[in-house]
Amino acid sequence: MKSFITTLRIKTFLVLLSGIALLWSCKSENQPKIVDFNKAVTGEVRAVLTDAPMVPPRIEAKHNTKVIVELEVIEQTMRLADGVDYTFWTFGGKVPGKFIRVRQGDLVEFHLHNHPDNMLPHNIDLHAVTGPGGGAEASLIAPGKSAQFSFRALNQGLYVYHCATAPVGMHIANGMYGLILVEPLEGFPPVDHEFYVMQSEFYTTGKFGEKGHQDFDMQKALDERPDYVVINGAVGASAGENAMTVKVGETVRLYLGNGGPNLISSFHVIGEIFDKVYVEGGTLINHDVQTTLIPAGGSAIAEFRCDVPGTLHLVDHSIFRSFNKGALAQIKVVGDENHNVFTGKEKEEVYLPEGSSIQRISSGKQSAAAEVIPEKNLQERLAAGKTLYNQNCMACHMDHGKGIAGTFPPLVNSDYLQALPDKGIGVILNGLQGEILVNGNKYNNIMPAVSLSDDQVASILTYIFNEFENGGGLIKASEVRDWRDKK
Amino acid sequence: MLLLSFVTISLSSQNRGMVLIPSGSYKPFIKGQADQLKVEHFWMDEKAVTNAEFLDFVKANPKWSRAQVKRLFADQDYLSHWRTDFVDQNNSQQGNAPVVNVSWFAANAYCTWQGKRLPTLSEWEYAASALPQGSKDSSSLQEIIANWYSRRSQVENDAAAFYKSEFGLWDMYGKVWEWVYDFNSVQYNEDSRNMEESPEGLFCGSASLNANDASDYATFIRYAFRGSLKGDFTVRKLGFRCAKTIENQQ
Amino acid sequence: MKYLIVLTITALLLAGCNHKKEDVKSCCSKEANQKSTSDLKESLPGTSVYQLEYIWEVHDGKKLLMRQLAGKPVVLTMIFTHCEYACPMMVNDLKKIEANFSEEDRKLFTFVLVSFDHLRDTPERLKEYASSQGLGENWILLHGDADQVKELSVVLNISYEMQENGSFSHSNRKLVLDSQGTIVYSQEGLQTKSEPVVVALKRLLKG
Repeated sequence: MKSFITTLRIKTFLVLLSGIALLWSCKSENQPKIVDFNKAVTGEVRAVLTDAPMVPPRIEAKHNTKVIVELEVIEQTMRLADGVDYTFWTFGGKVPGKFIRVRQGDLVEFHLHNHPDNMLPHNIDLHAVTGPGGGAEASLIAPGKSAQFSFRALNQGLYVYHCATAPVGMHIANGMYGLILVEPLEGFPPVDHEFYVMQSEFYTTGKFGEKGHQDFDMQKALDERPDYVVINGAVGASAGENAMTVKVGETVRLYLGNGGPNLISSFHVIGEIFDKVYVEGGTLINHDVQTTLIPAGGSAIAEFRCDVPGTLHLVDHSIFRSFNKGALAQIKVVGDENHNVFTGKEKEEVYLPEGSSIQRISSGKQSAAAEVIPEKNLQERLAAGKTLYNQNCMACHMDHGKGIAGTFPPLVNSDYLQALPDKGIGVILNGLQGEILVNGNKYNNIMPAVSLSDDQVASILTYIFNEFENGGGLIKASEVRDWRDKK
Repeated sequence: MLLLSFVTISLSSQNRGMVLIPSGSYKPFIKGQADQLKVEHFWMDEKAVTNAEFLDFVKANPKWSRAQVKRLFADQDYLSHWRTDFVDQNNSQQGNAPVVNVSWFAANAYCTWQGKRLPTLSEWEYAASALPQGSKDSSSLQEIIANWYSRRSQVENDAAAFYKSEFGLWDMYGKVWEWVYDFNSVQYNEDSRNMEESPEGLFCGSASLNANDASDYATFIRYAFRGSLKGDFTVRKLGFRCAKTIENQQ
Repeated sequence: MKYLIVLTITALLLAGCNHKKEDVKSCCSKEANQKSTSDLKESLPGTSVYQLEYIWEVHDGKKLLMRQLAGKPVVLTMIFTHCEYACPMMVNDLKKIEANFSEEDRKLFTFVLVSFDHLRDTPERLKEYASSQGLGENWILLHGDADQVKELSVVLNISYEMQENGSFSHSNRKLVLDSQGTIVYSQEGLQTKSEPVVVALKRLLKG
C-alpha cells in the first residue's frame, strides 16, 4: 500500500516536474525494491549456518528460491570468561546464534527444534519476518518439540532474531539472539572478508571475573547494570588466539548486531575508519564513519579496507564496557608496513591495564591474600600463570610478552627482567615509574601496582620466566611473602 | 472438631504418602484476579509419582502401556526412557526417581486409578509457595529455583532429595516440572509480549494476562512452560503428583 | 486500531457477562459411562477424538457417546450460551460455513457445539439456544460434567477458565474432524474466513 502510493507520487513527479531530473534520480536511488510475493520461487536449498565470527557463503542461484533453515535451541553451560561459567540458552549451541543468510524475495521455510534435554519452552522472533510476532506465535515449542513456519523475505537488511518466550528479557539475557541477513538478490559487492560480530550483555550474581558458575541476576538486569558486555558471547571470544585475521590491502565487511538486552552499542574499530556503513543494517549508506550506533535489537553493516598491518580493536566506545567488562574483539592485519599510510612507531591508544584485580599506585606492603595456599608445582604454576597473565598483563605487554615498541616494554627475553635480583616481584607489587632500558630501548611509562596474592604473583612470574625465554625456574609463593615481609 | 477426626482417620488409612495442605491463600501471578486467591484445604502427594509407582499402574492398566496407549492421549515419546513397555530401568535407583515423559491424560488416569486427581493450578501454586523447612525468608527458595533453572539438576535424582517444605512436600521445585489439572486454563498467548499490548484478548469474560510481578521470572517461566504444552505432550523433565479433595462438608 | 477494537469488545464483554450464577445440577454420572461399549471403538484410529469415553447429554434430551458421531465429518467448537459476544460470533462463523452447502449436502456433515458451562447449560437451555439461533437438524449441542469438558478441551487444544461471575474466558477454535473423528483442520479466531473450513469439508465429502 505504502509502496503503491510512493510509486504514484514518483509518476506524478515525472510528469509534472520532469525538469527536476536530479531530484528524481536522487530519490530513486534509495527506493527499496519491492518483492512480488505472489510470484512463486523455484527450487530449494538448505541454508548453511555459521557461528560467529564466520559468515555463510551467499546463495548463488540467480532466481529466488526456497531456503530451508533448521535451527536447534540448546541450553548448555559454557565459558563466559576465564574461570567463569554460565548456563546459556542458545540458537544452535553458541552465543550469538547461528548466522542465517537469504536473499530478498526468497521463501524461507523455518524449522525450530527445542532439544529434548532442555528445561524450557522457546520460540523465535525474526525481525526479518513480516507477520505476527515475527514468527513468535507460530514457533512456541516445549522441550522435545519442533515447529515449522514459512515467510517471504520482503525487505532487504541485516536483522536480529531472538527468543520471545516469557520472560522475554531473561531469554534474551541468557543468550538467545543472532542475525539473519536478507541481501539483494544479486548480492552485495564482493569483499575479501566478511565477519559476524555481535555484542550483548550478561547479568551475573557475581562481579566481573568472579570465578565459578554464575547465575542470572534479575535485579541487575532491571537496573541495566551488566557485569559483562561481550562481543560474540564471551570475554575474548574473538580476540587473542581467536582473533579474526586478514591481509594488508584486503577489504572487510562486518555484519554487526546487538542482542542487548538493554544497552546500545557505540561501535568503533580502533585504528580504522568505516568507508561505508549501511545505517542500522538497512539500505541507507553513510560514508567515512568513525563510530556507528547499533541499537539493542538492531544492526549495522560496516566496510573498510585494511591498508596497514597491526591489530584492530573492535570496541563499544562506551569505553569502560570494552576495557573493564569484556566488549573487545580483534582483527589482526598481517603484511608489510605501508609508510605512506602510517609511519613511525605503532602506537595504540594508551589505556590503563584492566583486569580482574585492583590496580593501585602504592606500596605492596600488605599481603593481598591472608589464606594459606599450598605451593604449586611448575605445571600448576604455568597453567595458573597463563590465565593470570592474560587477565592482568596482556593488555599492555601483549600476547607472548611482545610488548609495544616504545610504549610498553617486552617481557620476552628481557634483559631488564632477568637482571632484577627479586625476579620482578617488586615490580608487580609496587609498580614501576621512571625511565628504564629494556633490550636496548628506552621506556618511560607508569606501571601500576597490581593487587595479587603471593600465590598469584608466583604463578605469573613463573609463567613469564618459562614461557617468554627468560631462563625458566620456579618462583614460590614463599619468596613473594618473604619479599613483602622484608619491606 | 469433625474435620480433625476425619483428618486423623484418613492419614492412617488411605492417604499414606500424602500430606494435608491447610486452607490458605496466595498471591496469584495473573493480574485481574483477586489480590489473594483462596485455596481450600486438600491432600497432596508428598513427592512426585515415581517410575516404580507408575510401572504398577501400567501393569494394572495395560492400555496405558507404551504399546497400547492411543496416540490421542500420548505422543510417541511416552515413557521413552523406560527399557521396555513394562520395565522402567535396570537399577532400582531409577525406580525412585520421578516418572517423566508422561502426558496429561496418563497423569490424570494414574491419579483417578489411585482414587485421587491432579491438583489444580491454584492448588499447585499455593502448595509450592511454602518455604523449605527451617528457612526464614524466600531467598532459600529462590536459590533452589535459580539453581534448578540455570544448573539443570538431573531428573534421575530420587523423588525426595532436595528439600521438604513447611507443608511437608518434597521438591516442588528443583527436579521436574509437574502437570496440573487445568494447565490449559490460562489464556496464555504464544507470543508472550502481547500480554502487555492486549491484556484482555478476544475472549469472553475478562481474562487479563498481566503478571502481578513482571520481575518474578521463576513464575513467569512456569506459566510459559504450561502455555507451551498440549495434553498429549510428553517431556523429559515433566512429571506430576496427585491431590485429593477433603470431603468433610455435609 | 486493533487495540481499540479489543477495548470496545472488552467493554461489551464486561457489560454482558454479569449474569448470576444459576445452580443447576450436573448430569452424566460415571456409572453411565461404564455401561456403554461399542465395537466401533476398536476400529477407530488412535488419534481419533472419539477415543474419549464419556457420555454426553444432547439438547434434544438423548444421550450420546462421541463415537456415535463417527461416519460423517464434523465441525466442532466449544461455547457457552450466556456468552454475549464471542460465542454468537462463533456460531455466526459456522452458519456462514454452512451457507456454502446446499440443503442436501448439509445432511452429509454435523455441527457440534459443546458447552463449557456444565452448571448452567442444561440440555433444556441448549435446546432453547438452538431454536433461538435457528440451528437446523444437523446441529448437535452437548452438555457434560466438569471433568469431561476439561478432557475434551485438552484434546481439542482449547483453553478456558471459569470467571468468578460464572462466565468463561476461552480460546475460539473451530475444528474439522473426518468421519473417524481425527482432527484434519483447526482454525483459531473469530470472523474468520469460511473458505479453509469449506475446502476441508468438501475434500472429506468427496473422499
